[in-house]
Amino acid sequence: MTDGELMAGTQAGDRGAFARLVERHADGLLNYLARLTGSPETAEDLAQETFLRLYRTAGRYRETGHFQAYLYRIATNLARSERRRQLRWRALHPLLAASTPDRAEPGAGRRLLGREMGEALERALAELSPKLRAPILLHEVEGLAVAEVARTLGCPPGTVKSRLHRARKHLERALAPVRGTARTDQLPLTPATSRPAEDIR
Amino acid sequence: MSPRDPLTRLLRELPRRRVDDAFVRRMLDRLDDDAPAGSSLGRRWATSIPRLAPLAAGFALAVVLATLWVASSGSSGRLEPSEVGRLAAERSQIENELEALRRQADDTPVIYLGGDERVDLVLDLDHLARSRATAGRATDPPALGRSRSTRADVRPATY
Repeated sequence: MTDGELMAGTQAGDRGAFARLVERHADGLLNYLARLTGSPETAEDLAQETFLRLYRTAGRYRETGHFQAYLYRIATNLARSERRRQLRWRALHPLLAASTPDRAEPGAGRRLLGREMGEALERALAELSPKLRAPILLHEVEGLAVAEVARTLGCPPGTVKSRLHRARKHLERALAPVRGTARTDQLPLTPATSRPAEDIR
Repeated sequence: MSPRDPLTRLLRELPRRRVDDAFVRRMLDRLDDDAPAGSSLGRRWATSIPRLAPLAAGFALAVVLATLWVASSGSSGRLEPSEVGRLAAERSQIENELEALRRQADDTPVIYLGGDERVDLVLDLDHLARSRATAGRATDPPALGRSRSTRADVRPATY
């Protein structure tokens, strides 16, 4: 069943349809939020909140064939609100603010990519501002087309492309010293975990 | 975007986080605490009260903190040296964070000019500034109606 059909089922009160939507999109959403926020714990909470909000507002959803952009837009807005909330608390009283790290934690990818390259890439991603990190995660990692990324972020496709270009420049600059010691075409390749190339434009 | 692009390949090979097996079950359990999907005004009241509670708690906490602060500064008359040092360190940290934000905002922009399915043209102002500096050209304003940009400054973007 398509996402649109599952949403129609959800709107009709079918929890099974909603559960299938969650199963289908939970991993990608969690992955995106974890890298966007830099905190796996926050990402888990935000992912749950995203699906709850989707369910609560199901009556307002209108099927246009862009369900994924709709879902990720909810998630992005929640992440932005959470970030603003954390900045306000930090300004109010730094000692009271939760010490949520603002950087993605290096993960098992080090073993797959080559330790140095993986660490450098994770670090470089974490250094990007959220404004640049979001499009690169949505487009390069989660495989959304540029038009879908634009719908998710609520900005024109041209803006998305500019931000993608700036983000890529930053990442390439960060990886350049590591590339000098390791050839990327010799790094071990894992089975494809993201979408096939034809889904990405 | 070509999957042979090295950066794209690297990004796709990053480890992917996955939800645990009980995630869907937890979601459905949380739905039991909520009203059904797409219901009416009564649900809005039911959901707005939990949202107001954290705001009220935050406000109460701010009032308590402010009262404690006034009481402590009033009783001593002035700040302890250790307190002054701590405040100075916090100020320094906030200034560093603000400076980092300003540096980010000062990043030279990239302007998207247009393109088609295969090629996008992007004006990279950072590259333009560097190539002009290298050529030793003065930064004169462009003549009216004629761009001074060279072909090297307007280049296809690769994704």
